[in-house]
Amino acid sequence: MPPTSLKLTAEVQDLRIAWLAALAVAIHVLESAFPSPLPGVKPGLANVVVVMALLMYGWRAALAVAVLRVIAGSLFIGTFLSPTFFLSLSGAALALCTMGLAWFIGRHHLTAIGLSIAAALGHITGQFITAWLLFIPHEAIWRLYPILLSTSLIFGLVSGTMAHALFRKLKIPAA
Amino acid sequence: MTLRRSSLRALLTLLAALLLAGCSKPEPYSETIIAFGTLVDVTLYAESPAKADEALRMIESDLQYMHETWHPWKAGSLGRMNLLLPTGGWFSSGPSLLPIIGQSTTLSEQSDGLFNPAIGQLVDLWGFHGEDLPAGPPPEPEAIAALLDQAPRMSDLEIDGIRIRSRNPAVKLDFGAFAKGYGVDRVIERLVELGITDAIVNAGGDLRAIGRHGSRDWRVGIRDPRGQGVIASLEISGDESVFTSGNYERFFEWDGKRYHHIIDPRTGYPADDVLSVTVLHDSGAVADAAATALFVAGREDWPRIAARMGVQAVMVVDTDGGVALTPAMAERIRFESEDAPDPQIRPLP
Amino acid sequence: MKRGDWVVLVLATLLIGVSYAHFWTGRMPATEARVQTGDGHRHDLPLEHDTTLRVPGPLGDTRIEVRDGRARIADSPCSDKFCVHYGWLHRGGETIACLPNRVVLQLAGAEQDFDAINF
Repeated sequence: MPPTSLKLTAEVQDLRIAWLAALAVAIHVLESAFPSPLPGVKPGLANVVVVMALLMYGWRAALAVAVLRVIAGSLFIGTFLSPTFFLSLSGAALALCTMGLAWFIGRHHLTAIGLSIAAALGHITGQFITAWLLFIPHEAIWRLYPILLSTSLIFGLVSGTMAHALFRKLKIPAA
Repeated sequence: MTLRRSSLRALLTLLAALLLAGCSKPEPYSETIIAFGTLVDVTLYAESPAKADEALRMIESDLQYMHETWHPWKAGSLGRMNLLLPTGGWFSSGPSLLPIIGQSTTLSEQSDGLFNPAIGQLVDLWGFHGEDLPAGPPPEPEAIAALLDQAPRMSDLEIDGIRIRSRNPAVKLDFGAFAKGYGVDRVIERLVELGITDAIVNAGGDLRAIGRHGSRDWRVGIRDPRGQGVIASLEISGDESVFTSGNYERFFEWDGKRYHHIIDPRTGYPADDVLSVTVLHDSGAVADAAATALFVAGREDWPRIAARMGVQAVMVVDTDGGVALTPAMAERIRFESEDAPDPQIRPLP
Repeated sequence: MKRGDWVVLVLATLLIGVSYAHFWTGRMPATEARVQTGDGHRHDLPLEHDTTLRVPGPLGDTRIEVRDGRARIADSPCSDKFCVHYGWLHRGGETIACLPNRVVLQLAGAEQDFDAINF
């Protein structure tokens, strides 16, 4: 390989995003080992890292972490461009939307808990819509939706509470 | 801040409004009426119980009237006509009979005579005209051959204004394969007149529905002619009819052989190539006549007759258990049984 | 937790409630067998309890059987026995009628699987 003249300089912000994305990828990979009644549909624990990115470094950081998480995470577990990948992608996309909506409506009234819950419900809903439209166009799968929605509320609540506690310990002021 | 708080409140109000709007739907009303020698199940959506009751009472008297008018041999308009037709002379028809004769003549011609309401004598000979099933034995072959030689058909009838005569003394009208469809159409007409937009009328397993069942389409299960339970389901809405002719509906057994009620006008014997034919069509009358005609046509010829009669959506289950669908039916039907058949798609010519 | 978190939590709970109401009531399995006779009597049999019921009709007694969450017409005095041949009913909305003896058996639940059975 010829020596390249291109030099990449990582700024502090880039490093932070990289760290958070690495954490999200790790959670993403761990989560893939969880059993699920609908294969590929997962509670989306990694979203909590996106929530942290949003609270600490703002909206663009959150978007970067989410995109990196989905792409790098699926490359890690070998599901890139497979059905599972599209499920993660749509989950992450809708999680960003719901979280973003909550953020823009009431950012001053929200902590990591509320944002995590919003992200978790968006995540599961996005995955269901994709699963239904692309893979199992049978209305019977929607019977599982309420159950997974309930589970994702609990996961969102727990991971949000953990993130919130972490913030307090680190004394990072909410953005 | 104030703006954000008020937008939160607005969002909550909107959500509550949506939830409440979902709760104040009109309730469906259901009733089973005994008519046409069968049970007619009517479910309709109405604004009030009084309105629903009015509609149900009206339907009940309509059905009662139709049953008396179209009964092939009891005293009534059709019974009287069947007494006068063999004379060959002109007489005045009961006015309510002319439309049903007109429509069934058209459909009979379109079906190449496979749907033939003029073979009332053949139906009598087999004993399928009464409410009780015949006990057997099947009729003598000579008697069947004698009736076939006379070849009664709808085109033997001559109509002039309200007067009618038959050029063939063997014509006896029996609307057993048609009255349900025609009657269900009249009931739906009546409901529409009364301003009812959502209803399903199920006359002994053959039905027509308008509108929807609340927020979803009407769901219809189709009985499995090969055994037990439901073979497939259809979701229907707007204004559609589902009619099935099956060999399991009316039959008797004699000497270990089963004889059912759908007589092939060409042979004089029960048609025995298929188990059931299901037709989905706007009009109940067309669906009813087509289900019978396609049943008689058998597994090879039915697509031709379906095309002639203008029906697009058909399912045929043959005596070997094979299932054939038209492309239009394949788009709509959903198989429900555990051993879902592998259907053959038969495009219409 | 701040006020906004509570709002999100309440909305989430509402959404879950609505989703259960919407996706679960529509396809509840049948919970009872309704038997209607020609003289206008109706008997509701819960499907959890195995039982048999004899109902009178113009021809004699029709025997209805409920077992393992299903129901059927086990015996009928009618001549064609169409109702007996139908076999077990197990889904909401499934209906079988014995016309000669004026007996109707229907499975019902919170909501029915089928609005009508075509035959």
